[in-house]
Amino acid sequence: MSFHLIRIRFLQSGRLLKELGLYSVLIVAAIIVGVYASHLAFNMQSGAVFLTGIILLTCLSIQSIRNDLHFISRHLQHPWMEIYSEYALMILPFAAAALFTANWYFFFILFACIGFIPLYKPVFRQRTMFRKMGRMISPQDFEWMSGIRRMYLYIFPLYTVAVLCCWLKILPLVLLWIITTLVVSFYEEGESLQVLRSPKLMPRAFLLYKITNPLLYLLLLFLPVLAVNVIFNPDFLLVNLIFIAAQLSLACFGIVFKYAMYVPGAKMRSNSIITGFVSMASVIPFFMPVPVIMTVIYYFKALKNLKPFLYA
Amino acid sequence: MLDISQITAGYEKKVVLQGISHQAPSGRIVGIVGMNGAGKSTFFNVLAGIIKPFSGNMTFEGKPLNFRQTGYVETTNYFYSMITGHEYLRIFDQTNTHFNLEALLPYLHLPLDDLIETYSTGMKKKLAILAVVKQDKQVYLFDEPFNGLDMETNKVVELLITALKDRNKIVFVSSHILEPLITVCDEILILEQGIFSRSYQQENFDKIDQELFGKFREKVMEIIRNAI
Repeated sequence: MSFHLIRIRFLQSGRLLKELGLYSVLIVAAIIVGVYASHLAFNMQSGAVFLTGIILLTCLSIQSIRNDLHFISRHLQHPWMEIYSEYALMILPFAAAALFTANWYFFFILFACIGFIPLYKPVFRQRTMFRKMGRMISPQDFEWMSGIRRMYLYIFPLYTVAVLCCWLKILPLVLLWIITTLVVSFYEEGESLQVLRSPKLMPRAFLLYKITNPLLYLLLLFLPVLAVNVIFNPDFLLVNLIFIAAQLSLACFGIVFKYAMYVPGAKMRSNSIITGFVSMASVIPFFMPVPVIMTVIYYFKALKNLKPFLYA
Repeated sequence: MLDISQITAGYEKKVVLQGISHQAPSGRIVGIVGMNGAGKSTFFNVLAGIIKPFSGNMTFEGKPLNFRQTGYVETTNYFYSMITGHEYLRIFDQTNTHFNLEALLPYLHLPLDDLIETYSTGMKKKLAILAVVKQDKQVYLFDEPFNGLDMETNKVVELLITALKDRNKIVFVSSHILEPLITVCDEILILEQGIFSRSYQQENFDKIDQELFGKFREKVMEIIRNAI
């Protein structure tokens, strides 16, 4: 039996690590932390159930958005095995952490459950969702239109739960943070040069223009939830203020980072790893200034990168 | 008048355009023909301001060419995922006051309310062309605009280009195939090894095929006859 997909993934990972340079150390560190956290979670019955659910949902959401399923089923000899082995390898370090706990059998539950995931074949939807979205969102914020269509299945439930639970202390903040992280992922595609040039602005004015509206959208989304949260938890006012500042700076970072790496028409998938780290930092107390620092650093890089593209 | 003078340009150490010059008065359609790798796209990228030339200059009406004056349809068109044709067109300000989308749509067969992902290559090309002609520019650059178009749309694009000429615009069009260029252009330039090696005015278009492919045709035809 040959594992073509795994071989391709190894090659891709090697290329990605090379591209990331020093940031690859952070990936290794994140995996180690993840494995340790998994070990802690598997130690408790409820934690083990929760983590198993998270891992399975992650695999399912990857399966639902991947666009190589048609290729795999058409050209590879054992499609189920190829996909299964890929997910198995992906979850192995985290699932293996269960073997050293009292809930060791979750390891086998996980490996049995992911066997069903390759059987799920999502159908590409040709139907256009939210046709009237252009009336609420400026045409220049096409990233939001595109992102909402891609992510609405995650964003709407998360936001609904955040609204329904806005009187609770921590949960709404966690949910809003996940939403900001999803919003940052809207900015992982480089638009065409025609689109980039359409506002007819120089780099500095262009970046300001691109940042303003998304921050307003985020404020409009978050303020009602946070306001009610503060009414129920007055002692949380400062926390909420710091939270919103951190989330806005995270969104700013996502935008300037996109333009620091911008290549016309390129999909910048490796950006998600770095934005993921900055996103984590935005909710860890001592690391909260990280998004601000990164925004400043990448703002200047974006100015430099945009210069040849924007007539400067 | 667009005056291109002694442009040398390329990528890093590779020089693609080796000192090309050309003058195009307003209201003129100039066709660019060349083999793959001759430098057609590099020429367009220089005119659009994407590539800075190593040397030479470009002026429009006596002043340095401002790249905001150029509208560019690239060979391959990239569209942001999950947006509709209408949403894409709304990104661009309508500065061309004559542009009437509703009047054009019946001839373009574009489902503008659908996601661009669902479009064919030709539809994407038409959408990119519409976005450019929606804007009032002095110089329009169309790199391979006829790729992937059906016959009817091909004709519509030819007419669009001719209409731009009637509005006194300068249009540069490239193509792998001569036929559409012969229909719309006032002048055809042959780009070979980084220079415009030959130029044909409309009255000499019938000579292009013979001069470019005459000997080649005879030689290859003989080989083919003997080979099959």
